[in-house]
Amino acid sequence: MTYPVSLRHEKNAYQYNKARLVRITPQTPDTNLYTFEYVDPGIQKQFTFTPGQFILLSIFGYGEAPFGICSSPNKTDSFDLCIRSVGKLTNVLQNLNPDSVVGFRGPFGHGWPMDEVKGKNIVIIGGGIGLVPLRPAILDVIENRDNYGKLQIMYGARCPEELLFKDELYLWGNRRDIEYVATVDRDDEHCWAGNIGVVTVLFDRINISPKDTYALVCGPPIMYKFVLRELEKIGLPDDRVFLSLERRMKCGVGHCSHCLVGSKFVCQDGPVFSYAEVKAQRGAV
Amino acid sequence: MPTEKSKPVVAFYGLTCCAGCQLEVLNLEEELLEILGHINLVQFRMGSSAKHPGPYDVCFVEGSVTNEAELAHLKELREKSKVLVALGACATTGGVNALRNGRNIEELKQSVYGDASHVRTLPQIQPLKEYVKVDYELQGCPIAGDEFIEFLTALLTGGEPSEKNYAVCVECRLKENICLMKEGELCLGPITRAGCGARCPSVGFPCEGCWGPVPQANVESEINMFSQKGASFDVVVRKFRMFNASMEDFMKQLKKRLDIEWL
Amino acid sequence: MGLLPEKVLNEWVIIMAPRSTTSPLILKKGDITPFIKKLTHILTVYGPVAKKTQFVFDEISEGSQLRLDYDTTILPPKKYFIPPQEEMVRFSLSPQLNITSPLEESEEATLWNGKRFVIVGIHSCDLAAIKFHDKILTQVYPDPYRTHRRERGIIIGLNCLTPCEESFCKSTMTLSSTEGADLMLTELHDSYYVDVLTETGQLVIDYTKSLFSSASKEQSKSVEQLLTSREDTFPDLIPEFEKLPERLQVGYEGEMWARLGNRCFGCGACTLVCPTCFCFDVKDRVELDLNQGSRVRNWDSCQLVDFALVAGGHNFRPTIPSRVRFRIYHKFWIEPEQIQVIGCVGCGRCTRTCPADIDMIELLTDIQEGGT
Ligand SMILES: Cc1cc2nc3c(=O)[nH]c(=O)nc-3n(C[C@H](O)[C@H](O)[C@H](O)COP(=O)(O)OP(=O)(O)OC[C@H]3O[C@@H](n4cnc5c(N)ncnc54)[C@H](O)[C@@H]3O)c2cc1C
Ligand code: SF4
Ligand code: SF4
Ligand code: SF4
Ligand code: SF4
Ligand code: SF4
Ligand code: FES
Repeated sequence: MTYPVSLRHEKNAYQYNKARLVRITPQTPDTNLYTFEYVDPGIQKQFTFTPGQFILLSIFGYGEAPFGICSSPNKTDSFDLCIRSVGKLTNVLQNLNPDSVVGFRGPFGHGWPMDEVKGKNIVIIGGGIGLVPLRPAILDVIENRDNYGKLQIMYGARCPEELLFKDELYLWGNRRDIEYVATVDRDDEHCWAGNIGVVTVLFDRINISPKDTYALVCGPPIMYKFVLRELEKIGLPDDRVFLSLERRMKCGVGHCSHCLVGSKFVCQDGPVFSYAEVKAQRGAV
Repeated sequence: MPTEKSKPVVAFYGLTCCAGCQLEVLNLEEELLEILGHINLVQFRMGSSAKHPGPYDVCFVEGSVTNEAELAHLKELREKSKVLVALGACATTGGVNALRNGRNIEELKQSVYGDASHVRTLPQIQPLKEYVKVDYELQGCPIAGDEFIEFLTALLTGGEPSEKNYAVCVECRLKENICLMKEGELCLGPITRAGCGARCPSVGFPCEGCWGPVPQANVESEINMFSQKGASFDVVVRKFRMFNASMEDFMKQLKKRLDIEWL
Repeated sequence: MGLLPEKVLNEWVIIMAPRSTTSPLILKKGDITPFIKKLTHILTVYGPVAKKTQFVFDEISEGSQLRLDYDTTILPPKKYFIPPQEEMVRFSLSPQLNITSPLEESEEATLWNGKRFVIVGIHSCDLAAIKFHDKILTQVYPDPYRTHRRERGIIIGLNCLTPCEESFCKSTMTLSSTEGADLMLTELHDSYYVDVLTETGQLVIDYTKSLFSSASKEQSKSVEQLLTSREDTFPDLIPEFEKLPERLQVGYEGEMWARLGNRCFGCGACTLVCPTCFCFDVKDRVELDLNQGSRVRNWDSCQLVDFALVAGGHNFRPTIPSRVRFRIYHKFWIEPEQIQVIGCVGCGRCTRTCPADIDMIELLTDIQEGGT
């Protein structure tokens, strides 16, 4: 198989780029961080993405699925995916040995509006595995701190063990230039000193001013309803609230219709949409 | 090539049934040789009589539980098996064995066995999953060879076998059969799980539902369609009960609609 | 699209004699058999054939099998451009990943084993559906598999002169579609009147030239009359069809969907037989040697329960009514939003196939009358 120069093959959107699994770093009992590197250094060099974009991972024989890219957009020698094992492909993935070769298509889709939020305040709201596609945005803000205004992060997980990137959370919590708050739904082991309750309890812990502020939100479908209501209350206009939607995806390139939300393809027009766009589509959230 | 030791230990057991599903596996002939290269088949009712004590990596069980002894056997197999697969209609829906459900047992026994005092039966025929945890089901009367192979390759390569959560009509349309419903016949295809490759409609017979109900089967609409085609209550009931007499939703809907006591 | 590559020209045993004009031609019905025979020498030929009381598109080896008097087929000719099952890549399970795409193999070993094909006798509604796919499947990226086949398929269209049951092609304005066809046939007494619409069509004529004669002025006139008389003989069953997207602006929450959902089986038959539906699912298949395998895409349907199910078990369209509604919105609202064309060509196949007797004309009439 030969590799054309571009990562996205305009003529054949179904061509795969081979990548090697570099390492697996456990995050929670069912979620790991996977680091990959393209087999062809030329391709690795061309690899760029916008925070919030996703990539399609193939393990042939077991399937293909979309995953948000999770590393910093400024890191170019490899990239990370953070994946929860829930089924066919993801269960096989967790048992792969380093150096195994898998296939990738993409990155695809529209990510967070990083250009639009330059110089503006950012509120990041993540629920569970939803923190994954938000992480590159957070890392970019941290790595180019002067490019952005205030950064506030709200993160909720089901229980303390399920918090992702625990080392980083700690660092975020200790930085002066980030306001970070977290909560867990429940704490059966009594090992959590922080907030308890769903993500929305954090709205009492943090002061969000609507002026010049953008919200970037990702979490399970149920979370959106409540978070959006809170943001509306605060007075954040719909076109400054951005959501990353999840849908079943079978192609990633606008052919299979599985990901349709109203007339928009989550795979190409999204996965990140402004709340204003989402409102115009039926059955979106 | 894996050694005998590293190959998964596989067993086939039969409860009450015609053994047609195991026969279907035997009929695979060419493929069977290849399959036997990948597994360590220790028990196969039709092929050999050797008794293997277990434990098993994969245990296929065909047939229905009709009496206490069979129930104990099933529970024992479950204990001994990592993966338990219900094989065929009798094991997945109760199949034709369930036809006697809801009838007066004593009466039935009499009519079948004459003096019935020695026959000890359970009051109802249920799918195996009602008694023990079943990991996978392969439906059909008999099962389909290609589904069996697909299932086995998925299992052997460590993947997850996929379920066909759609109706026989899908396979029937792809075969470009003439739709029998549209010709006025009573076809259970729209509410029956696919997998058979639309075996019956492809040769001009309406589906009898041997793959069991499809998820979200619209039983009510099927009853309506049948009665619109002039089918009598008796005919509808017989049709629904053929392979699915133990399927509660089917029977509930029938009951609701037809109000027939003997269900 | 539709143009044959240079290379094919050479493969063809074409008499490069003076090119005929593009003026209309006549093919005697009796000459259909030799015409098909000649085509089979260089192409795989598909066309409508009888299947018991109905018709299907199938491979033709003898002109006598061809039933140009057919009304409609069970599956539309889309199956030759988007096969119900299509191998996307072949792979082996080795840890180093060996994949081959049929799109990248040598010219000879491609999807079609090097053979081009011709479909004879496609009705106007199905032609419109092919054009529809040309558009909807190239919105972001072209679908390379379909494009591959599309570039290798020659299309001989056939004008309908009498309406078929359950169809409403006059309302969808697809009755007079010819775009996409390389040649267009119209039945005229004991002959077919042939319009040559593309260069590819002209190649076909050149190759089978001896069978065609020029159409006379009278013949052209008769055909024109025949075609315009359809304005009277074909009923406009859904007046103001083009207003449907607008009418669907309201009614999303209407009770019509629950009503339909009570009847619908969610069996997906209506979408599988629909010439404009194109949705697919992708599955990996491993062969019994437990090493070789292929990634296959299969026709899927938004009517099936798993269509919008995501990992974790959340289903965005969990009920039959929500899925019936989606089918209608996809065709009559979403697709027009996306490419400004309604996703229904009025062929009537969905009505003809629905085991629950759900009737598209009735359904759309309800919407038109605000009866949602
Ligand atoms: C844009 C986007 C970004 C994403 N980012 C991430 C990410 O960063 N990290 C992450 O962990 N996940 C992410 N996901 C989710 C991820 O794609 C899924 O978890 C993944 O597809 C699961 O694949 P699988 O083969 O392991 O599971 P599957 O085996 O395909 O399915 C697992 C679950 O799907 C449901 N299911 C039921 N029937 C079927 C069926 N027939 N086919 C498929 N599924 C069925 C069941 O609930 C089942 O438990 C993202 C999804 C999208 C759309
Ligand atoms: S014949 Fe039966 S299975 Fe086939 S499409 Fe008709 S109703 Fe469905
Ligand atoms: S068509 Fe129906 S009865 Fe026949 S094999 Fe298939 S599921 Fe069984
Ligand atoms: S929706 Fe029905 S009438 Fe319209 S194109 Fe599809 S099958 Fe034909
Ligand atoms: S979404 Fe449904 S109606 Fe639309 S093209 Fe796909 S199968 Fe057809
Ligand atoms: S063919 Fe009829 S019953 Fe089947 S999904 Fe379509 S509308 Fe529903
Ligand atoms: S994933 Fe196939 S259209 Fe978006």
